[in-house]
Amino acid sequence: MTFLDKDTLNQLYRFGIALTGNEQDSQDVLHTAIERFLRNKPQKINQQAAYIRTIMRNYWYDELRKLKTHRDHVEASQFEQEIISIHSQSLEDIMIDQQELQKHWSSLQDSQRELLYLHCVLEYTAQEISDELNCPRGTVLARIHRLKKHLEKMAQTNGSQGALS
Amino acid sequence: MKKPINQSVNDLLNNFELSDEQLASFAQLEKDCLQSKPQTKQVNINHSKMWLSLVASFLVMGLFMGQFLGAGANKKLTSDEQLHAIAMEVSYNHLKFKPLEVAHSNLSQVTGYFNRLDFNPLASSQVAALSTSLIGGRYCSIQGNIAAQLRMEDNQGRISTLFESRYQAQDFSMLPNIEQGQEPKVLYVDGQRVALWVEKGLVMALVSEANQ
Repeated sequence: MTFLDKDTLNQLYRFGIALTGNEQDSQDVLHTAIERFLRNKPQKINQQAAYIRTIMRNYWYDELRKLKTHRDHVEASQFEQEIISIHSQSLEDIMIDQQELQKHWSSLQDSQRELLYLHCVLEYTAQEISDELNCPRGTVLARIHRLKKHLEKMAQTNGSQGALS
Repeated sequence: MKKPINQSVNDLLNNFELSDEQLASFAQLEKDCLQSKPQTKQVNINHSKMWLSLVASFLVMGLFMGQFLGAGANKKLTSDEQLHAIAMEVSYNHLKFKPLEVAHSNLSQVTGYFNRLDFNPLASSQVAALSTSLIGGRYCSIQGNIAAQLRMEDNQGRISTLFESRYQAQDFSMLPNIEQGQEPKVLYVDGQRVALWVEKGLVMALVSEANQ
């Protein structure tokens, strides 16, 4: 591939897995995003990968809405309208076993997996995530806060002592 | 071994890589897109389309605001609505007919492929009546929960799909449990017959032709 190298494609593929939760949908979403990108041939794009991630995200959520299985995401978004006072949130102090993470991976919401990707793989700050997702920084911090709680709750429910600390 | 979450997420995702075949398909896609002619005719009508889109957007926004301000804005789905949503989802997946990830007529061979599931896909007592033979399977999801779909074919070439997922009370409590003597819930969606039930701790959904 001439315009995207193998590493970038693999990064986008992994982002797709984080977004959709599985390999097949990731491939479909990436395929559609690249096709749309190439057909539109947008000019003055400095961050091609970020632009393609946005196409992938929009396409995936559109597909979910069509399927009407976007209920969880919509409900979660409604909570985000609440004003939550969080000044600083970070996931960095969470310790987790990879097996444990893999076990709970599919039960996380799409937006939570996406947040993990942006925060843990791309090492984006809350501000950078808010820029990419085009939402307020406070919302990102609130999401991180809830994700942290969620991961802790999952570990407790599972009875796995000390899986998260 | 416990690791910082950043490392665990990286390690988990680094297990996934595009195969040479998949990379080749993206290279082909690029070639196809670059060879196709630009759609110049559309430019002339874009202006009027833009105005139409603008008017449509206002209408949709008006409708949305009306609904949002109404009583049903935060309404939880009823059991029937949840059943219908599940039936719609599995029917859509059945009709979409995505490529099989594993093709085999032997159940243990097919279930052996699903190593990312947190349950073991099983043969169901409800499927035996259809006289079908297994042709393969692939991963999918039901209401956001990872699931296996097993594709079957009868002797007349009619395809049916059995979906299996782990039982999660918050998503599937409305489904009948056949081990408690309950009958599967049957719905008709998009011309398909969709049977839904819980069996051996798994959620099962069988989609077949309405007259099968």
